[in-house]
Amino acid sequence: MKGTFRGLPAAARAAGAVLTVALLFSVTGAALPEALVHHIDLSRRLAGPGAVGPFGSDELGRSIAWRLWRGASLSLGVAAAAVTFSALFGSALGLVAGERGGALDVALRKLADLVLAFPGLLLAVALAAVLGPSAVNTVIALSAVGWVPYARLARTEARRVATFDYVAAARSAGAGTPRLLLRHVLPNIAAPLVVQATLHLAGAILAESALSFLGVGVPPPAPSWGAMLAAGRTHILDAPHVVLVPAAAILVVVLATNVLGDALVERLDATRRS
Amino acid sequence: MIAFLRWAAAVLLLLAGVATIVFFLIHLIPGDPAAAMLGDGAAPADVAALRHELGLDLPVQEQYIRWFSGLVRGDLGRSVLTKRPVMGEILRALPATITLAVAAFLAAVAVAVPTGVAAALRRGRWLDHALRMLSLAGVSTPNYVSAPILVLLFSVSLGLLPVSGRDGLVSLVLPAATLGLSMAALLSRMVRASVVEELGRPYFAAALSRGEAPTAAALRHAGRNALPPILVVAGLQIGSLLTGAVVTETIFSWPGIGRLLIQSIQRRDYTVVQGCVLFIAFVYSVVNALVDLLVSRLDPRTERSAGPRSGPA
Repeated sequence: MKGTFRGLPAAARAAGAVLTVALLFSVTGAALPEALVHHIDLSRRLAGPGAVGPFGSDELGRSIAWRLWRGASLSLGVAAAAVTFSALFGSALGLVAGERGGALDVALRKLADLVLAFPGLLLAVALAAVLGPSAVNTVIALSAVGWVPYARLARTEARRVATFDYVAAARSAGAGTPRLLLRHVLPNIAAPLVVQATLHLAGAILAESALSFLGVGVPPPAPSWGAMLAAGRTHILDAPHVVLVPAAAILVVVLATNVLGDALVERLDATRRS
Repeated sequence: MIAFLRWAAAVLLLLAGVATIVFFLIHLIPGDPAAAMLGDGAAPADVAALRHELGLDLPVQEQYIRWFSGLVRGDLGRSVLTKRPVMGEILRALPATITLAVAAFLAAVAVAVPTGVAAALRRGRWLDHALRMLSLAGVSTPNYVSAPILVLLFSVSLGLLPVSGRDGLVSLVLPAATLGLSMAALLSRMVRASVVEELGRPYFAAALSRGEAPTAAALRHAGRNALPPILVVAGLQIGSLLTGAVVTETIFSWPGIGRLLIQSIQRRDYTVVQGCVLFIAFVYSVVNALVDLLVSRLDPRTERSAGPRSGPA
């Protein structure tokens, strides 16, 4: 776990730097004054980049730069929350099921198969649709679908680790199940879970944008990147920057996350082999 | 035969589970689902009538039985808005989705096979690296980003293709390209890996030593052996085509099941939403299970799996 990010290839470190900057924007974006983000000025409708701020203005004359900044806190915040909940919920379930085995284990596997019977985003779209559009419901919908890979990973690893001598030793020394799982099993599977979370983050950012784009995610006027894309779609002909700016933001962050995740996977595989 | 029966039983069980989840969707609507469907300001009498019509005034177990007995007869209920059978609405939208998915699939294969084989033959050279970068970009680009870029390029700048709608073969090009793009990127990497593996085998060296040209030998010998795993991956990708279709159809106003789903969500026509979700999940599960069955038949080395294979995590 320690030094997970040390000694990665240059591309991965660049990706890490990009993500750090995105994270800074995301954290500070929440503190932006509402007046900046939502200020409507129809005289500056669809002004190009340079005319209004670095990225121009949207169909209501709102500054795209400010909205993008606030959007970073929404889009990345929702994605990060979904990843966190999925990881916590999924790995806890997987750990317990893997350690207990039996009916609980079978039930968990069936439930996971059920969730995976819905292709890609379909279940998340359906859940978000019935729960109603809001940031919290988006996190719920994405987490309800996202926990499965963590549970599978944690379950497999818990089974593997459970056969190790030191676990048997800890058990015979009187360690109870919660203590055993948290102190002895979890540290051993933390690295693959972190890697999984990194890869999941890219997927979660895309999923949040897709949900907002389809109108079942974060509702307007909140400037989620997907919602900005969706709102600007009708102006693709007369003011393409309204679409291209949020699209570029999504692409850059997702690509950086994927590059970092791939490097972490490779590193993990190398450690495993040696 | 017993293996097949076990397979069929597992598929049916999975479908029943999927139907159960979809049944409970409507009960996740906060408050009274009937009131939510009619929107604010609906008369209480209308809400009560709709509640009765949907069977929401019955005990949950009776609703559940009604849902399943309807399902067995192919009855998914009626649209809240148009009062027409949901099944009819789905079947009406189905041809458009099939056309789009098949076109995207063929386009993806047509792009992925030549680029994958070329990358394998030029392994480690600039062409390989360039194709790798292109494919990474393709996988990282969601439909709703690639679509506007393609529209800008081909409809606006070049004026070649229509922006949206379904009007003849030309209108199919941009939606199919959008939908096929990420699949082509993924499939191209699969083809490359599969062909690279075959190029390392002795029969390929033998073909070369007989004086055959590398490209011809790769196509004649390696192609045949590399094909089955590629077909399996392609088959499993049909599922992601279905979800991709939801976004793509919405962008291009393509009148398929995906657009029907999103429109029904916007109109709060939740019976149609249920029907669309159920239909797509059923198709996805059955296709995956069939591919799984096919693999175990084609390649006796694969362990016969008892259940349908779950999709990519």
